[in-house]
Amino acid sequence: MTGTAAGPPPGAAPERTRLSWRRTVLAGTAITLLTARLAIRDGFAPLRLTVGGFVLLGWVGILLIGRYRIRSIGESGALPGWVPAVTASCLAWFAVLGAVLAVLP
Amino acid sequence: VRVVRPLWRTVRQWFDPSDMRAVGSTPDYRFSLANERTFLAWIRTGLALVGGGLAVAGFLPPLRMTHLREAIALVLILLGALIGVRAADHWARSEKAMRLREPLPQSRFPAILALTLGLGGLLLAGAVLAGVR
Repeated sequence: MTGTAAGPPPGAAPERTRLSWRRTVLAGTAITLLTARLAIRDGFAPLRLTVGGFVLLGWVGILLIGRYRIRSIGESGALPGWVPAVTASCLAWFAVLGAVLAVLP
Repeated sequence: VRVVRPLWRTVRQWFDPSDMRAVGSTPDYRFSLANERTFLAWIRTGLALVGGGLAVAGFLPPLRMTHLREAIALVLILLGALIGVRAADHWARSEKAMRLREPLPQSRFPAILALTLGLGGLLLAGAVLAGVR
């Protein structure tokens, strides 16, 4: 350990948290692609394409939150309280669209 | 109303946690970051379940048992969404506990989730072996 008694090892915790955000954004990207694939499962039906298109909102959302958080992590370390709620909302958004696409004829 | 109002307050607090910042004192930032990573790990778990549901709906051929494919996909997707909501709530409760220097919140959720997934997996394995389509 190179950390002193006064401070934590520099970089370790913020770095791991940044990487955790990157993995999460990457997972969100994979979900976006899976949703797109599900939308065009039976050809290019306009309704399914429209519903599937809305997945881009969730993708952009998680992309922006990830970007914001990765940049802000070094400055204060504190996570603004709305970030988890909005991130969970993106996941819920993916779930809603996936559920609709799963049952849509 | 007695149920709705606390529920609404909880949901509002997720998005506007200024009340939460007012209590206690700021914990060591490493603990906060660890709490954040735990939250993100849960989000990825939820994403994985949603992804599993999407894969079932997107890549399986229609099964002979009516709507079986859709049912499996829906259960996985809804479970994923549930994990996300619970992750946000658990993050907020842990953060509050750390600020107040209280013990971290206990939860049965991981055990219940593990049992549900284990039983579901066994059920599906049984269905595959029994040739249910």
